[in-house]
Order: sequence, then C-alpha cells, then structure tokens
Amino acid sequence: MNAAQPIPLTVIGGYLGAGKTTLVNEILKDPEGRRYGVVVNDLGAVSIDSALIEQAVGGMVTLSNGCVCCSAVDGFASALDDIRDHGARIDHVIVEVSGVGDPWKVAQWGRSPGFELDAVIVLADAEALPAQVDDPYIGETVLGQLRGADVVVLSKIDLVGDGAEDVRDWVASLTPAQVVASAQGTRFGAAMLAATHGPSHRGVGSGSSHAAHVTRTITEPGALAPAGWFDWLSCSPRGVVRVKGIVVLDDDRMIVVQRAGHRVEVSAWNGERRSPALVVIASEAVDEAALDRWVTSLSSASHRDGSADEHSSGEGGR
Amino acid sequence: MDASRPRADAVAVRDGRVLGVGTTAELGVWGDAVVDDTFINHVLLPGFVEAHCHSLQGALWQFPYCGYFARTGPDGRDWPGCTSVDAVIERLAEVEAELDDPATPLCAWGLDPIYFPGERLEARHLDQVSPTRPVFVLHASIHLATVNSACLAAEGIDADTLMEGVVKDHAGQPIGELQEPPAMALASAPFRQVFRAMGTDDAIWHFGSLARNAGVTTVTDLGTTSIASDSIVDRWQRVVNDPMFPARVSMFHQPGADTNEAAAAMVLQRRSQSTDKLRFGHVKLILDGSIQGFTARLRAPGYLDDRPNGLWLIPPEQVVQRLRAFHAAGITVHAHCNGDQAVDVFLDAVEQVLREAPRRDHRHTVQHCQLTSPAQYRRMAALGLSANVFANHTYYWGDQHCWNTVGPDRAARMNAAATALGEGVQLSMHSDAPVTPIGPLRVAWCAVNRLTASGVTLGPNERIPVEAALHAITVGASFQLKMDDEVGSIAPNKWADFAVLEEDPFLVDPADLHDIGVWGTVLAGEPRPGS
Repeated sequence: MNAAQPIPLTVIGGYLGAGKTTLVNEILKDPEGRRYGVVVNDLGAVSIDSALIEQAVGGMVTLSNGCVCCSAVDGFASALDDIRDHGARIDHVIVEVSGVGDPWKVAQWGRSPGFELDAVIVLADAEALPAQVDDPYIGETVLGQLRGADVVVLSKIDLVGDGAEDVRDWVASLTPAQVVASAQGTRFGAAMLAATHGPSHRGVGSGSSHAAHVTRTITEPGALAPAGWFDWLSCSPRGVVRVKGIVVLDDDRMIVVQRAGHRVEVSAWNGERRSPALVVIASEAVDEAALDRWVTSLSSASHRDGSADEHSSGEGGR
Repeated sequence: MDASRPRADAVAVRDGRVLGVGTTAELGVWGDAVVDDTFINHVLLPGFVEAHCHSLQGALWQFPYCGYFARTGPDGRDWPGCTSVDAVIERLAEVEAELDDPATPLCAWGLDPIYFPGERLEARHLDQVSPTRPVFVLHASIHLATVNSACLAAEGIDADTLMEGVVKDHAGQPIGELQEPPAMALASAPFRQVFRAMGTDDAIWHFGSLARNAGVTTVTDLGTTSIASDSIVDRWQRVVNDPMFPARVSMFHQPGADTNEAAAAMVLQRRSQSTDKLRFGHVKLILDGSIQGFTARLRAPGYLDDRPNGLWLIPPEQVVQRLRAFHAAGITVHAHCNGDQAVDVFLDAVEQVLREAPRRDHRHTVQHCQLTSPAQYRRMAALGLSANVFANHTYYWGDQHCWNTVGPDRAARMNAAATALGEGVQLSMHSDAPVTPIGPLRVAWCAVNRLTASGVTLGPNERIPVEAALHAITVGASFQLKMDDEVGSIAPNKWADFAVLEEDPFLVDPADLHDIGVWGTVLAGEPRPGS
C-alpha cells in the first residue's frame, strides 16, 4: 500500500460481554508488525502493558509497537482526525462500537476521505444471545447490531453443546450477514483483520492452520470483466467470510476487490502496478473440497480470456 | 419565592449578598444605607435558575439562525421565524449579502423540517443563496445538515460517494441532505467551522448574554463540555470569573464508558476548583434519545405506526454501574430520560445503589421526564429523586406528539408537572437550550397554559399555578443544583441575584406570562442590563 491508498477501517460491534475488548487487546498485544489505530469507548478497559506505552496525551495513547489507541469520547470525527494526522502512517483502523451502538451507522465513518470500509464484524456470545434477543430492553438493539453486520462471529459456541448448529442457523435467519460459529471467536476475528493485509503477512497463507479458520491464497488469479468478478465473489461456498485482493480486469486495469460477509465491493487501485493476488478466509466449517473447486474455477476462468464464468446466481451484495 | 416573606418593598445588599428584605424603614437597622431606586418601576424576582441547558447555544449564535420559531440573539437582535422554505432562503440570502470573503462557507442553524410537511430543503434551494459560496445549514436536531451545490462540489460529494446518509435522487445525484455525523463531516470545511466555534471564548460569552437577557442568573452547562480537559476548564475559569461575565454556571461532567473511581475523583477534584461563579461537581448521564426524533425508549404501547422503539445511549444493565461510583463518592447524578422505559431503568439503578449505599439528600434527578407516569413519580418521591420537566415541549412539539409520535392521550399526559407536584416530587422545568430558546418565563408560561403552537390546550389537568411554575424556575432548580442555600430566593445571606422584570408575573394575565419584558438581571448586587 502506498500513501495514495485509503486506510482500511474495520468496525467491531456487539452487545456487552461479546468479546470486543478481548479482541482489541489481542490485536494490540500482537499486531504482527502492523500499526493499528484503535478507537475505543473506554481507554481504561484496554489492557495495555504499561511498558508498551510511549506517550499518553489527551485521549490518545501511543504504543512502542507502533499502534495508537484513541478514545471515542469526543466523537469519531476527532478520533479519526487524530489518526489521520498521526506522524507515522497507520496501516489499519479498528473502531470498537459501544455495547448499544449501531455498528453499521458507525461503519459509515469508513467511507470518509482517507479511509475505506473494510468489514463490519459483530461479535455475539452464543450462549447469551437468545435471552438478549428476547429482552424487552435490548432485544431490538441486539437484532439491529446483527442485521448491520457483514460477518457475525458467534463465540463460546462450545458452551452451547449439541445445539451449536441450531444456534448458528437461527442467527443466520436473523441477519443477511455471514454467521461464523467458533469456540475462539476473538481469534477468528483477529484472523479476519489480518487477512485485510493480503497474503504477504505471516499467519495467513495457503493451508495456514489457525485453529478457527481456513485460508487460501491465490497468486495468479488472471483477468475477468467487472461482472465476472462480482459473480465469482458472490458465489462462494458457505463459510467464506472474507476475500480481499488486487486483481486485473479484462482491459488490464488493476482493481481492488473485496468481500466482507455478504457485502461485495470493487474499487480502483491507485497504487503502483504489482502482481495480482487474493486471499480468502473461511471458517473451519467450510467444505474444503468445495472451497478448492471455487478457487480453481477462478484460475480456469482466467484461461477463458476474461469472460464471465459460469456462475450466475449469487448471494447478493449490499 | 421565600415562603416567610414572599413580597417586599426593598432589599438591602452588601458585598454582593442580601442583608434582608422589607420596608426601607426596616432595612434602616443596617445603618447608613444608600437607597437605590433604579428599579422603582420594576419588579425584582430571584434570579432565574436554568437547570438544563447547554453552552452549545452560545456557540451556535456565532452563526445566523433560520429556525421556524422566532428567537432573539445574545446581542438582542430579533430573528423572526422562517416558516417556509422560501423564508429560509430569503434569510440566508440576506446574510450572504453581508459577507465579504467569497470563499468563506456560510453556516446557519436551527432548521426544523418537521414544520414544513411535504417540503424538503435541498441543494437546489440553497443554490439560490449562492451558486459559488459553500452554504451549510445545520438542522435543529444537530443530526442533519443541508448544503448547496457549491459545497457538494468543493468537498467532492457526488454520485460516487458511497456513504449512507448522503441522500440521493433517482438519478443517483446527492440532493444536498447529509444525515448523521459521518455524512455531515464530509462537508469538511463548514463542519469544522461549526465544531471550532464550540471551543471559543465567544461561545461562552454569548451563553452568558442569553441567560442575562432572559433574567437567568444561574445557568447550567449540562454535560456539553469536557471538564476532564485542563485547557477547556482554564478557558471557562477565565471567561466566567471575568467580572463582566453576567451569570453563575454549573458545569456537569458527562462521563464516557470509563466510569469508575478515577472519574469520580476527577469530578471531586474539579469541585474543589469551584468559584463563586463557576461550579463543578455534578454528573450527567444520558440514557435514551428524543421523542420527536423517535429515539427515546418508550414502554408499551410505544410509538404510533408501530415504529421501532428508540435507542439506548448506555446499555441498560450498565446504568447501575455508571451510577455507583458517583453515588458512592457523594456526587449528584442527573439522568436524561425522555421515555418512560428509560425512567424505569434509572429508577431501578437508583434503588439498587441506595440499597448498597444508603445516602440521604443525594439530589439525583430525572431530566426531561416527558412520559413519566404517576406510579413512576410516586417511586421517585420514595427514592428521593427530583424531576426536571421539559415543559417547553407542550408548545414546540405538542401538536407533533398528538399526531406523529405518541397520540393525543399520551401527549396530554406529557410533562406532567401537576402530577409530579401532587406526588411530592421536587420540581424544576427547563428549556434544554439550544433545543428551545433559553427563557424561564416562557417555560413557566408553557407549564401554566399548556398551549401548543397551533393553540390547542393540551392536557389541561396538568397545568400548574403561576406560583408553582415560578417556584420551579427558581427554588426548585437551585435545589437540584445544590445551590438553594445561595440562590433561588431573596433572603438574608443569599447572593443578591435578581431577575429585573417590567411587570409583576403574579399580577399579569397568566396567558401573557411569556410576554413580560426582562430588563436584565442583578448579579451579586451589580445591575446587568440586557441587550
């Protein structure tokens, strides 16, 4: 990525106790060499090792690993200004939404100049969710959060026991989002965030064995017409939650394609020409044979000189 | 408003405080007094106390006003209401003609399209104001803005802008309406101009002038401004403690999610920095949104047309936790609860913290209390809670509440000041400026008459007598700020803070209460003529 490229902005939502802060803490503890800018409601809840803190001024904490953490108390506009104006370029912004906040509304900040909306991840506690959805005080709030997600990560699914698949199907009936069930929801969320940065980073690569997810890297995806890319992105096997990469159109222009859950977006690539590559991330529940067929279909499509491939129906974008 | 001596001919003042009230002969016991008959043709009331408004009002008056109802600026300039889209354009065109630098954005505030059914202000309308200068009109809700084509072009907002909240026409072109902060912030130059205006000395000075012009000597900044920041507090100390600044200010702290002992300690530390004029030490929590915005949390039967229930600003189960640290530290907490379901959550939280840490005279207060039921008021009385009722709503949105939000029955029960008093709840009433204009006499008029803008008497059984209304905007409000030993009535040892009125509110027709002229105020014995 060069300076002309916008900074990806990922939104982490979900009701109290869903694991949002745990996820933020995991990322700040081990950012894998990236400089994350994290916007949180409660700076006090972020467990930053005091040895890591370089500077704490006003609502912004700078860490020695390059990450910064900002309070959202004075509004997202000023927090994002602080991140944009930060001396060292931030690679990725993560916004933690309040427990009653609407993640899709907050996600609109990701359309601000200088940023691009990466993904809206809503975490949910598989065990607590049914009671939360029925609660007369918070039911509508929680449902609204699920509906505004690209990907819902159901954590603590192991505690549900035999009913895990039923819970997953029930949640999927409440939201257009992709629903992923995981015993380690926050680790899955962290893997999704890492996937944003493409195949060159550690922890993500073909056959990578993070317990909670499956990835594929496509290094020679070939060229397709815009409609062909939309179709291919929309027609994945169930369980694919994230696709991101830089690819070539049939007229040789380079574009950024991405899919977050059910939401597919294509935008212009303004950076220097580079070799195309895609990274795919799926939950461990994915049918790996189907995943490989889907990935292979892309390579075969490119051999047909960029014409749209045989997929015609899709899950639809937002 | 002092029950022992409700009326008197004269007041003796020394060093800013009241020595006594009575006849000049009685007050002669204080020796060589100088009789000052400046106000011989006026009526002195205790300086009014506005216990719920925001300094944002002062910030906004740095820009022209284009709202539906007439308002008066801090300089005394009258701004008639703009009651049609054409009137809005005309107002802005007048202002535009006065501006020199052609590049400076024109920002205006106060637009409320709820009063223009069937019409929508769009960029093409504002293009009549200027085809070249960016124009940015902030709506009364503060959640929306409308901009002109020059602004859209300058900020690069076009058909390719993906953000939701950028309203587009059938052809996919933006029409100029920007909904919610992310979209409003796309209009970067005017958006920043408005935000910068909130952090200026002028914003505070205007706030003080508006208070003085309405007879207010004690005003609140209810959680608008971050008192955690030293530089912000330094500015407020410098301005409010300036001898020329015409009001006392109680600044509430509005905590974020980081409520804990440290936040309580910060508030207590600020309290120790209080001066005669600038007070710290209370806390504001916001539980829900607004009824006219359909974001307040309502009990069944909810909003008309089966609209979804409103928004929580604090997770309901966290309210007790946010309250606890402050309650335990002896801090007074005022909670914004527009809807009756939000009131339930707050009352549960108060009951719980009182069980854990019994505390007399906490003066926790429910703010707005718009749909609070008689049973909730009884519970409030039992828990020692006060009510600060949003009386102005009856006039400004009463018609909308009848037909758009909750229906005529609940609209007639809204802002039930008579019920609150009947159930023994300490009562204050407020403007919530800038939501409605700061003006306690108008607040009192609303509660006494309960007329809507269209002239309907809404809920006549909830009207209260003039005396009760005046008590609410003086003693009642000072009680909620824990300043009732210092202000709110004219009595020995209290500050010599008076509202100077042209007529006696006890003698005028109650229907004319809001038309009583306000000369200005007296603050600590010093006359402060209005502008």
